[in-house]
Amino acid sequence: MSAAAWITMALVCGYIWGGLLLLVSIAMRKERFKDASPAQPWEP
Amino acid sequence: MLLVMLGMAVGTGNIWRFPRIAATNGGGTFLIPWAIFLLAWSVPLLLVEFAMGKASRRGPVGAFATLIGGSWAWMGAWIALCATFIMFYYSVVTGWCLRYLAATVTGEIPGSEPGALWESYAGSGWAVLTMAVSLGLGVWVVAGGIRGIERAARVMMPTLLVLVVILAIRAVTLPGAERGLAFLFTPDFSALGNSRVWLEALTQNAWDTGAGWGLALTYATYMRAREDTTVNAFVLGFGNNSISLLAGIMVLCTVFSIRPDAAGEIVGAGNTGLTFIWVPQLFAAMPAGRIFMALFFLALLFAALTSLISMIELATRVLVDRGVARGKAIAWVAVAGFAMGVPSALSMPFFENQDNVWGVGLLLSGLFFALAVLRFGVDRFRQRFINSAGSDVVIGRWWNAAIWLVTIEAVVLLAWWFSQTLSEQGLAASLDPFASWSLGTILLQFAIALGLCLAFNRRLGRLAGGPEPGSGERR
Repeated sequence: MSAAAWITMALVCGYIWGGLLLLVSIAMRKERFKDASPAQPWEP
Repeated sequence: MLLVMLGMAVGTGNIWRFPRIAATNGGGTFLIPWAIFLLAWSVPLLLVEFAMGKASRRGPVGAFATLIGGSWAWMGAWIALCATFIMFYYSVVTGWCLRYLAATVTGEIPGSEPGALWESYAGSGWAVLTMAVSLGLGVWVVAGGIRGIERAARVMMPTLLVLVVILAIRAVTLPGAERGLAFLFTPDFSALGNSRVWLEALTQNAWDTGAGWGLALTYATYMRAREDTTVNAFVLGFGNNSISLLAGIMVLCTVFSIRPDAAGEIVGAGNTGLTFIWVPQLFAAMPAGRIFMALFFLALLFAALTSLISMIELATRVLVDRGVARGKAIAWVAVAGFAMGVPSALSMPFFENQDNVWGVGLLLSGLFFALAVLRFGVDRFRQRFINSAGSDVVIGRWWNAAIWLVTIEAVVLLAWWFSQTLSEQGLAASLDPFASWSLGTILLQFAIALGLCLAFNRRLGRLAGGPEPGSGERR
């Protein structure tokens, strides 16, 4: 594989898969925070 | 709910369309606009869909009428019509996946003659039968309500993810797999000047993520008030494209490892040629290939079925919003789905025509979502519906710019593609209304569909009643 192919692979995979991992970690952290917090006032 | 959304987004487009489109549009070059459009098209539109569905608690027609007024219901009707026309031929695709999974289990494939099963099956009465079975399966799940859809997604989506990961690992560990990686990731920057590459990257993103289809909007009507929209929309976009990338690596590494001599012919063989003629031959040449082939077609079937379910639910939801009882609405969708799916099951040119026409139609659907937000007020929409209570992350003003960008992208890409098609094919050929891929066939079918939406606009605009947008009503 050429250097250009390696760089493209690193950039695209890093962006897509790295982005997903980051988002999932944010989502999980927020969910945990939500569980510990009192219910929001607009919740029935 | 996120699994249900992922089930909607991850379809056959990820597994059979992405590798082929990426390979035939410059590999690494295609990946550049594809990655750009994830944030410049898919995610901003998914945010709109999540917010509109959650706020209005109605399908596309009702959501547009609620948000910007009954006189604009035709835009929602176009979106619903476009997704429903895709459903008509998508049930045929799901049927093919079902048939090939059965053929793998019974040992019918791979036969001695490559493509023998495809030749005898595609366009035959058997294709109608498998289409009917697939549609029946989808209707059965939708009849179970959102709980039934959630149960199906809870089983199928994790299984699909595991299968794709197993197949991708197997593919990259095959001897010579690096040739596939080189083919997928080597950029050819000269191809960036071709409008077709950008159009394909955008339509692939729309296909991949389901952004602009109205499907995410439909599922969002069932979201709990406290359920986050922002992070979910981002996870949906990135999660879906992650699977596409895995599928691209899986398919191209397998092709270049097993048949490097015929790789160009294989990736140029079209969606059906690649999947239903070449894939069985490729797996046959691999140790324990029959097991991996069964896993491949099972993954494809699950991907297709979860997406088909979301399309059936969308069409059902539109009728329910009009006051039709859910059971009756599902029955009507099933009957229409079967009747309109038969031509695509029996004729490959008709199937290809529909695939092309409504694939481009998604561009208009995305444009209509953006126009609805512009009419409502971009900043007002963002503050009232996106950054609402229950949102984990606050979306800033960048999103306002992204919605303008979506509008400009859709208009510029359509105009660019129209002019390039006219200059390349000539006026007479590009306006042929009966070609499977021409400006003429697209314009004719768009005109009929838009004409119908506008003709029934007043009736569509009358709502079936329901809560005000943003009331946060729970299901």
